[in-house]
Order: sequence, then structure tokens, then C-alpha cells
Amino acid sequence: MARPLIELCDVRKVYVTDEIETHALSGVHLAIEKGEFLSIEGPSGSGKTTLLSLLGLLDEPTSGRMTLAGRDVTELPAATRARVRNETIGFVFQSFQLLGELTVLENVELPLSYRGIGRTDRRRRAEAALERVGMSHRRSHLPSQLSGGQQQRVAVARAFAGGPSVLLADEPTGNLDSQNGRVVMELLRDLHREGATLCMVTHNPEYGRYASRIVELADGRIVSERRSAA
Amino acid sequence: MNGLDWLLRDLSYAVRMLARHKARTLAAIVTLSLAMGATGTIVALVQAIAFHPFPGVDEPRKIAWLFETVGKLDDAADTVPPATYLDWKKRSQRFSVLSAFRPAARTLTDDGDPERLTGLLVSADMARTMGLRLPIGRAITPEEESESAGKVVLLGYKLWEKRFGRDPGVVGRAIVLDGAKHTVIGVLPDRLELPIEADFWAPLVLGPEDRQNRVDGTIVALGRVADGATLEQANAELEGIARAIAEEHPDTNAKKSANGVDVATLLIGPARPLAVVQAVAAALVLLVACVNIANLLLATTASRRREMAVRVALGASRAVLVRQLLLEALVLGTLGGALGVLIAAWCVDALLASVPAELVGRLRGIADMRVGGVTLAVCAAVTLVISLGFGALPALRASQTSLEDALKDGSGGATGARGARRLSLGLVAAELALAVSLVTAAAIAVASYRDVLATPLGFEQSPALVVTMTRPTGEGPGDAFTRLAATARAMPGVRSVTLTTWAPLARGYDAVKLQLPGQESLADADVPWSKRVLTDDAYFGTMGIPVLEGRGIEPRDGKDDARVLVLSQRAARRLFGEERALGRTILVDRRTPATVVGVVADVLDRHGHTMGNVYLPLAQHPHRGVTAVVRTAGDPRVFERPLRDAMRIIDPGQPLDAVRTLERIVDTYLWARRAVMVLLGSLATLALVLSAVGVYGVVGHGVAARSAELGVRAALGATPARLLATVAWDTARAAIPGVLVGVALSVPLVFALARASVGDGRFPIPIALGVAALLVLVAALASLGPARAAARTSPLLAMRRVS
Repeated sequence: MARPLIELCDVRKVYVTDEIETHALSGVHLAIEKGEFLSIEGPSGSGKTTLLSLLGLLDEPTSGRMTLAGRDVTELPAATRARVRNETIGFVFQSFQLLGELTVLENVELPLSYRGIGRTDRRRRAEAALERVGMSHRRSHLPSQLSGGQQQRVAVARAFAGGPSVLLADEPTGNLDSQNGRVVMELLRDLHREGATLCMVTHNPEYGRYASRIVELADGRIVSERRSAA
Repeated sequence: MNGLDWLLRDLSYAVRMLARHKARTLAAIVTLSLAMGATGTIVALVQAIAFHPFPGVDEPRKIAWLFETVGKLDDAADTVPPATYLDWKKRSQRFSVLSAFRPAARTLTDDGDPERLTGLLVSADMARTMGLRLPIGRAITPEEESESAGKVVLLGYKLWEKRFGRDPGVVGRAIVLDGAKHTVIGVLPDRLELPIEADFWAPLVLGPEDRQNRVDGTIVALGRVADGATLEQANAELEGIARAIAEEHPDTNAKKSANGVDVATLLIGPARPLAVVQAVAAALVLLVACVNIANLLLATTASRRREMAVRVALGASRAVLVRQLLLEALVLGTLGGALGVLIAAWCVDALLASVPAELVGRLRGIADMRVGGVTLAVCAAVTLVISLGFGALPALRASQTSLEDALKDGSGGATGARGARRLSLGLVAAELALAVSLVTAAAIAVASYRDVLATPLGFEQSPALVVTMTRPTGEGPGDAFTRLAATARAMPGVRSVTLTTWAPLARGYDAVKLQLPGQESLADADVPWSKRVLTDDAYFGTMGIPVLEGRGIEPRDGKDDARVLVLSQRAARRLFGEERALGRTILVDRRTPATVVGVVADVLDRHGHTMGNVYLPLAQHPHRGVTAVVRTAGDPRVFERPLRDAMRIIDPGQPLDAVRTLERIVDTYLWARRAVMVLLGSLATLALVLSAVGVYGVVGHGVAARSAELGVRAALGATPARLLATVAWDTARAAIPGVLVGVALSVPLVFALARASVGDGRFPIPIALGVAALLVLVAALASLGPARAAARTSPLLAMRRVS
């Protein structure tokens, strides 16, 4: 049997502030298979975003092990962690996080430039990604000239332009109205159908139906896990 | 609640808000106080020098110093032949009155110790030319300009105060000057320094020989421009008069013209470019400080955006917000300004303490330099403008805060933040530009001072005492000074002693005209001046001036021996070019032939130049005043008392005028250049420090404000090195154009410095490149801390913040 793309073993995350310990995650075991669309759900404060941060190598677990494509990534130097993040993970944030002073095309090119990809190749891949999300006609615009839905589609293009192993989405529809939210979710579903591995955090159960598997968190633990009809 | 209650409440709130942001408040106060300290110091200096009032004199702008010119005015001699002056006086209408003077020294022998006085022999119209109001007594009358008239004297105010206890009864009393009784007819005004400071005025008597003299300048002429006329009109008339005189006396006055320069321009003018440079430098420092404060306030506004929104939401009007922020800026400005005035007062005291005593009287007005009403008014006005100006911008920005945006947690308003960052980086570029120009100017001043230090003065600078004496009457050789020199030579620790009329770097000199036989037909104006130095046979050895050819003055060059002279290298080259000078005959002052027996190395004068010296035997040319240079093996100061005691024994009525060490004389010579260097250097250092603080603050604030963006970059895979480079590139984008603009800005400063005799006016490319590199390095170092903080930005911020 093939090894999971991502595997978490007994992962804990504890935040200490003013001598108060907050257990954000407590003994999480989770495996994400290649090509899977995982939705992480749960109430506010349940640990969803913390889990996504660990999956995206934005943070380190307090204890436990984590592997990515068979490689132990639990403790890596900051520069190595950044490189792995850049090459294998794509992010879609709730508030888009496009850089205001860069054009749409430059935003999509940004992670590719960090990888050291040459200008021509970088541009070709960024334009292809924008074409894929239907935003190539706005390539020269600044983010402030786009609607929220359009900004999130650009953010999705930026996330998959580099061909990452997994796309991580943190409440991707949280700042959108329902119509734009649906457009973005359909885009993510299409990417999944084309073979992408996705892991999404959402508190909206309606969008869970786009995923192939739903994991529910409460108080930092996985309390349920179910397959979706998608 | 009345207006006062509102004010007190807002004031209390302002103080509390400033106290809450201690670091930011302290930074603003320190920045402002340092800049205001520099401004106050320079305002006091500029006011004292450039706007000197010439106390005691009525309308000094109307008083002109009159020159007889040949070619350029710069080449004019200070003195005028008396016959020419009398012609001017008789014919001029545009000058309501002309007068003349000649410096003189007299020994006052009275009840107390004999005292050497420096004074002026003045024509009767001098008081009218100056527009003086005497505190007591009367001015000199035309009848007293005669040898047969009774001798009268006007006392200088200081002498009247020191010697006579300001006794009004001194008028009418007789005092003894140089052994002759003089009747005191009045007292000169307090602090009178025109035409030059004097202990006394006595009548100038022009004898028959003087009245025929159209060749030798022996008096200084002054004129007062008539009411309704301008100096330009008076000068045009004077030129016409000079042309007429030239036609009437072509032998002596051909090619000669005349010109008057107002005393303020003449005496203060040379200091004016320097004052302008210092004022510009202080203004640049102030601008750098303003940029820093603007950045600080912008950062404060950004961080208080939410607070302002809450206050508006709770019912505060926009006007109340603006008033509150302006009040905070005013409190900040008042504290910084008050501290700045204290710093200025301290700096002025330090500057005054550094002025050599010999220069205090000569640097017009410098003794009056103080942080007074004008300085306080300028500092208060500048503080008010800075406070209101830089308080208004954040106040207006804050008053336009969008409630909805500001109350959203963490909402940054990407476009506004980007605009603020660009503004901040633009301000950084501006302050670096200002600092570059200032540091370049300071570097030029340092290089100029180094050049002065590196240029040999032409004489030995080992320990020596320089003693100036003036004889009351023309005694012959073997007189008191010769005996004093002999006594000094016998003192243990004295290496050698010389008597001369000119010690190196001394003020004033005798000028003579040297020409070759056969050139007698040359017009007087075509014969250049040389400096005449009378010396004994020990001069060149004692002064350490190398004899390059032939010999120096020797004992065999006595009173009745053949007339000889020694030329400096420059004088020899001017007369003979590359030909050998030894053995050639020269006419001194167009009449006395003398043989060149030696050529010696050049010696610089107190302006750092050499006009060419001719050395003549003291024995062949008796002189009333001499200077003894006593070269010692150790500290020369210990010889002052023994020398004074020896003189008292040799001649109780003959005081020593001035006793100074050679080291002190050289130090005085260097002081002005050193002062320029220190002042500019201090201002440049201040600008450099403020710029570094500014860069640190802006980059630091920028990193804090960009933490969300940097977090996103980190989340997208930017390594720490890449994040550091992102911040460094931003700094470089501001620093490089700023430095380039600064180099361009320094070009006019270079020319301004050259006008103040600092540097040669050529743009120093190596210095500019060095300064540019230094500023880039300073900016890089200042941004290093914030950039490293940026490199440590957590990618988790991307999850927590909103762009």
C-alpha cells in the first residue's frame, strides 16, 4: 500500500502565553492520501487553523511527528522549511493575501520567483494558472481593482501555479458572498477532479460536500471522520 | 465647561498620551532639541557676526572705507597718500564728510604703572564721520590739528573706566603720554570699535611734507555718504575726482582710481559667506530633524488610527481630534524647543570659550554672541512652525479616518499603507540627501584644515616667546630693547633671541616697493608691494628660516656699512625670474639702493599666503617698535616674568606690549579654520546620527507595518534571507537616489565654502564618493536591525492578519 502524502502521528501543539498553556491540538493522528480533498471542520477554537498551519509547515508541532511525501518535516531549519513550503505546498487564505503593490500576474509569479524559476518560464506558468481560473484578462490589474471573488480566484491561481503536492485552503470562502463562495468552491472541486490534493478548513458544513472526506475537530482532537459523496 | 477647562483637559490628555509612548516621545524630543540646539547656536553666531550693529556709531551703512585703487579693488592698499586724501576731501559732495586716521601707540605714565596704549591719530572730522555722541566732553576741533596747538586727547571708554573709574571730572585734566602732557577733552562711546578699537584718539597732524605726498599711503580715509545720496553715487563721484587728479598729477596718480566700501561689507563681509554656510548647515540639520519628526508622527498616526476612530464613534468631532493632535505636537515641540535653547546656550558658551583672547576684539561682535531675544524668537518661531506643520498632517489624516475601516480589527487599508510607506521612504531619501551634502561640506572643511596643517609655515615651531615692544621715542642702537635681548640671551634655558619688526603670523606689516635700477620710469602703480622686515643678525637662525643662497643679515651690516638686503624666494623670483639675485642692486621705495646678499625660504603670513619679503638690517633702519622672539629649550611661559622684571630694571617707563608664546600665535592662526571644521563637523555628525535614527525608525516602522505582507511572503516560500533582502532593497531604493541627490546638493555648498576660504572651489569627487559610500553604509547599518527582524517574520502572520 502507498504511503500517505501527509502523515501526522500523535501531534500536539501547545501555546504558552503569560504562564497559561493552551492546548490547541492534542494527540492528532491524520493521514492525507494523494489526490484526496479533505475538509477540516469544527467550531471556532477547535484547532482547525492550527492544524492547517502545521500541515502547511507554517508552524512546528510541540510534539509528535509529521511526514510530507515520505520525508520527516517535523523539525527543519527555517530556510529549508521555506523551500519545502514553496515547492510542495500552495496556500489559499481566507482574506486572499494578495500583495497590494503587485499586479495580478506578479502576485501569481511571486512563489515561482522564490523558487528561482526563470522569467519566461515563470510568466508562462503564471499566465496558464490565471487562464485556468478565468482571470487572465485582469493580469495587469492591481488587487484593489478586483472584487473579492476575483481576488480569491487569483489567490487560487497563485497557489497551484507552481504545481504543489498539496493545496491548503483556510476558510477560502470566509470573506465572500455565497455566489462568489460557490464559484471558488467549484474551482477547487475542478482542481481536485484534475488530480490535485486539497485540504480545506471551513466552518460552513455546506461546503464540506465538495470534499471527499470530512474530519471534524473539537477541543484540539479529531472527534469524527466521514467520507463525503463528492 | 469653559475654554480654559477644555484646554486643561486636552493638555492633560496630551501629556498622558505622550507619556504612554515614552520611546517615541523621547525620540522626538531628543531629535528636536538637538536640531534646535544647533539652530540656536548658529542663529546666535550669525546674528553676532553678520548683523553686527557697530555700537556707538550712527548709521554705519553710510560710512565707507576709501581706497586708492589700481586695477582691481582687491589689490588696493589700506592706506592712502595724504595729498590724495585732501583732494578727495576738498572736492567730494556726495560724501558729506571725509576724515582720516593713523594707528599710534603711546605709553601712559601716570600715578599707576606705565601702560602701553594703542590708539588712533584722527582728523577733526572723525567724530562727525562716525556720527558719535560722546558720553562726556567734546570732539577734536580743526584748530587742534596742528603741532603748535595744545596737545589734547579723547579717552577710550574702557580706559576711562579702568584707569579713571568713569570719573566725569577727568575732562580738563592732563595725562602724560610718551612723556608729553595731553589735556583730556572727552570720552569715546562705550564699545566703540570703528574705525578700530582704541584706548585714545589724538589729533592727526599733517605737516607740509604730508600734504605734498601723493605716493606713500600713510593714512586711512573714511567718508560718510551724504543724506539723499547712495554709496554708488558717491563712488561714481570719487572716481571722477580720481580721474581729474590723475590728469593733474600724471607722474604719481596715472592709472589710479578710488572706491569706497561700506564698513559693514568690508569688516563683516569676509565672515558673511561663512555665516551663510553655517546657517545653511544648521537649516539642513533642522530639515533632517523635521523629516524624522514627520516620520515619527506618521507612525504615531498609523498606530492610533483605531483610537481616533473609537473617539469619533463616541461623539468626538473632527475639530476636537485635530485640536487634540495639534496640542500634543505643541507640547512635544515646546519641550524639545526649550531643551534646544539650553543646548544652544551651552554651545555658545563653549564656542566663546574656544576663541583665543587675541581674536575676541578682532572678530567683530563675537564677544556679544549670546542666546538672546532674537535667538529665542527664532527658536520659538521654528518650534511653532514645526509643531503646527508636522502636527497638522497627522491630525488631518486622523480626522479623515474611515470609521468602518479603522474599527475592523487589523484592517490596514493596503493602498493607504502603501502610500504612507512610499512617503516615509521618500522622507528617508530626503534626509539622506541632506546628510550627504552636509557631510561633504564637513569633509571639505576637514580636508582644508588638514591641508593648512600640512603646509609648512616656513619657520620653526619649537617653543618660543614673542614679546612686542614699542619705544616712546626714537632711540638708537644699544637702547633698552637691545639690552633686554642681551639679558634674555644670558638666561639659562634660552637658546637664542632675535629682534625684528615682524614676527611670523603677526598682524600688520610695512610694505615697500622694490624695483631694479633703470626701471625708475615705471609708474608707481606698476611696481608691486613687498613686505619689509627689519631684523638683526640672529633672525634667520632663531626663526629657523633656511638661507637658500648667500647669507643672512650679519653683524657686519651696521648702521654705517654698505646697504644690503635679503630677499625671500618669492620676492627674488618676482624681481629676477630665473636669474641669479645675489649681488644685484635694488631700489628700495624707489630711492635707496641696496645689494642683495642672500635669498631665504618663503614664510606664510596670517592669511596663509606669501607676498614676498625683503629683509633689511635693523641697525641700518631704526624703528620705533620691535618684537623680540626668544627661542627657549623648555616651556617659554616661564620666561615672561623674568623678562618683565628685566625690562623694569632696564627702563621703568618702558612696558612690554604683549607677551605670547609662538604656540599660541600659531593656534590663533589656525583657530578660524578649526572653528569652521568643528562647527561643520558637529552639524554633519548630528545630521548623520539623525539620519541613521531616521532610517532605523522608518525601516523599523515599515517592517512592523508590513508584517502581514512579510508573513504572506514567508508563507509562499520566501526564505529568511529573501525577506531580509526584500527590506534591504526597499532601503536601497530610498538610499541610493537620496545619496545621489545629496551629491548634487553639495555642489553649491562647495562653492559657498570656497567663498568662505574653505576648499579651492573644485568639486572633490573622491570626497563625494567617500561620503556617498559612508551614507549608504550608515543606511545599511541602520536598517540591519529591522531587516533582521523582518527575516524572522513568522509565516503564521499570513493566517492571522488581513491585508
